[in-house]
Amino acid sequence: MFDLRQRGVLGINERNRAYIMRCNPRKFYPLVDDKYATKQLCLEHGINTPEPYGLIQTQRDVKQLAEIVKEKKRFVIKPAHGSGGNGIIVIDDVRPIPDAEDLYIKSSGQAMRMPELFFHMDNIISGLFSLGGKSDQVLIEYCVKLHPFFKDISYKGVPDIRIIVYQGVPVMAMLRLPTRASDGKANLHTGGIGIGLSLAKGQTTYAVQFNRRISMHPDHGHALTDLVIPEWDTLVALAAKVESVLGLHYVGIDIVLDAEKGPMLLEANARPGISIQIANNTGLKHRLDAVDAALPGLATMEDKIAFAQARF
Amino acid sequence: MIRSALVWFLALLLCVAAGGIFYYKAFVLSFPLSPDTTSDSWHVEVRMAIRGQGKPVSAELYLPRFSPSFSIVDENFISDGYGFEIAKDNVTHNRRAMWTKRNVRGRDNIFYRAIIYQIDNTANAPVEKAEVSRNSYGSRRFNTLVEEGEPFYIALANIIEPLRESSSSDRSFARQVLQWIEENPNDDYLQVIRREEDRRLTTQQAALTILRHSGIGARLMHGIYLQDDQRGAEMATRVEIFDKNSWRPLNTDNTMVFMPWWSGDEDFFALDGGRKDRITVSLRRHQEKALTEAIWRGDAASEQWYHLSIYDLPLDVQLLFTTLLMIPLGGLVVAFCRQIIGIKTFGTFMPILVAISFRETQLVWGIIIFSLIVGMGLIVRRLLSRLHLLMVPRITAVVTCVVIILFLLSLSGFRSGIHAGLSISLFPIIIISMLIERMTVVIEESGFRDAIINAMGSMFVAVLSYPLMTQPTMVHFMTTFPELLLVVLALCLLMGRYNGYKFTEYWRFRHIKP
Repeated sequence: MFDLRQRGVLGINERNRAYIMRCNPRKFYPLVDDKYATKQLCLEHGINTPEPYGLIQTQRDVKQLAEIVKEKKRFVIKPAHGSGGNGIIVIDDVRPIPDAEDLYIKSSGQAMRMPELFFHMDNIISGLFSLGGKSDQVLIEYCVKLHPFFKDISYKGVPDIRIIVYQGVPVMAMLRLPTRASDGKANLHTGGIGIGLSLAKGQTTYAVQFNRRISMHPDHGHALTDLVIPEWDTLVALAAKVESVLGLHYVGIDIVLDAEKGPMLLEANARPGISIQIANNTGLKHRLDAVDAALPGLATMEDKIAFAQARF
Repeated sequence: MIRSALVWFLALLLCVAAGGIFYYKAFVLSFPLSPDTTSDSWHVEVRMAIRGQGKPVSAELYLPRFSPSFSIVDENFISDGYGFEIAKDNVTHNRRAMWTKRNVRGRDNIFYRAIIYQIDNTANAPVEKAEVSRNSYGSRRFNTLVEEGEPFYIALANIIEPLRESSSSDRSFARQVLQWIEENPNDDYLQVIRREEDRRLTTQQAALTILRHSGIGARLMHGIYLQDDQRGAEMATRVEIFDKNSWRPLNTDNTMVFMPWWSGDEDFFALDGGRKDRITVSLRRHQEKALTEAIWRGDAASEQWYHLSIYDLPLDVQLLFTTLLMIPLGGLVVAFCRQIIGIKTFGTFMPILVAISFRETQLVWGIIIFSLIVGMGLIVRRLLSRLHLLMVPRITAVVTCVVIILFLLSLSGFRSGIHAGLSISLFPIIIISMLIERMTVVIEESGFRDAIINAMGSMFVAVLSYPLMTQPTMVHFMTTFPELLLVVLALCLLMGRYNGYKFTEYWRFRHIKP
């Protein structure tokens, strides 16, 4: 139990001191903390990300939502500075009702009316979901279509893939599945499933829920290991590309897989958690050390990806 | 690497500096290394219970007089709805507080509280004069009155004469007077004096009359003997005579320290318009005793060091600093628990603040109150969540509800005579409100489970740092040798460079394969 060092586990103190403080200059934090800013940066560099439909900054403007989503059947409302997936509303469908207001159907099946959406946006702006209760902005964006690959192993929400990229080299990847327990959010500490992935092929290796190993999906019993994520190489390349434009060199890149548009950047995290080690059942430290050792010989982004896929 | 070396070097430097100053102060200047066991500071509380009868009430109470051997700080008067004033008598130096209220029904409580420090400051003692009767023994007027057959003076002459012959000084004479009255309480001459003055004259009052007519300044001094903690301390009275230009007590065989309260013949307490229910004087040894004594012990050699020490500050500021100087120690515990053990707490400061508030509520009550607040906060938050309120007003609503409940609890505790309710003073209340605020924020951001984990972590750390921050030896060390803060700083620097695993991580990652 006390040989974490030999097992190559990265502790939170070391993550903070040796990686985050060293690799992530504070001045770039706002870029990842503000999801709208991240999105703008991605669009500038031609990185695939859910298309933003609009940004609402003041309570006065929440009614603009009606105009923004007039033509849309599906969209997502989220706080620009939210954390842990809180405050996100996914509208799957709009059902017109004769002689009454349209019904907006959430991914959970629940229906909402426009005034309820306004109220929710009001809450977002007043800081209900942002860290420390600071006032926030509402981001309205494209709603990702669930890739058929995930149909069987997902519950309600959309799974995402977290890849930790260190100095341009992807070092570890994890698939996060929403469950009934996590209320459709791909959030590990509320009961989402974390699944370790091999960087070489995107193959699932190990699965945990609530820090305990599981072998099948708790909601519908599908096997969780030895699956291969589609479009894996594009996905890894996307992660490496995002890292290179952010200016942060120890980041967690969260990617979703769209049925039509392929891998898309959801958000980046300047303080990626260390639970990914549990999902992969292996420590990060050895991998980070291997990257440090090999780095002088890795000139291009392609070299780095090739190195990662050969080793991890 | 270079940075690590620098931190180690800095830490070493700080420790050497602190050690050097500490050594010099402790072993060269012989600052006391352990808190003194003789107690010098006392909490005094007088509580008057008045039963009103619907009429205006005026209550008067003597307050401890200013005296050269005691310093009275932190006086506090709690009297709900009463007009209040303090009168000082420039001749007797007595102080008297007066409370008035137009309409008193039912029971009212009036509190007086003070902290008393024993000092030695005779240099600044006010000049006092003795009051003697103009018709004193041996004067022409006294003799005339005796010759005229005035029974009072004949009695006085007959008492004074034999006692005077068998005594050598004013002091021994005064003692003999007192002793004689005690031995012959029903002496005929004494009855004559009683008839003239007052039938209920006590031994001491009778002695006073005799002494004043013998040309000796004498007075009654009322006060309390400072001894162990007492809930119902008795006022004691002693006779003092004016001898060699100062007032001295007649009996010096009592070794206990006597704190004078008021002089003269009047009662401690006077009440007009209501019924006195009860009056209790309680006395408690104060915790921060060692510190204050050292202040007054400074000698010339180490004077410049005293100027650099806490003891050069005014008393109330010193008391503040005794708390303030302990905070870094609490911080050290928090840093250790969070960084090295991995316990989750509400912020960094919250556990320290909770530990400080434990100082005032005592540990057990503190834990009870803490759990109560966290529990109530969670319940109120649950109830409010159905109303869909915006965040800031909602947090404020939770804080408000919890304060209301606390207030009611405190009130009912006070009504039923549980004094712990009253001891939740303003300071812990502020800390508690902040605690609720932090907790509701955590509930908003990461849910109930995390809030409870954080609350338990905070309480655990607070319970851990409480003894460290209140332990008398520790308090003494930090206040007498504040340079030890440099050691704390060094430890913080080292802890900040700690790169290793948290204790909880050994458990969290226990399954990971090599």
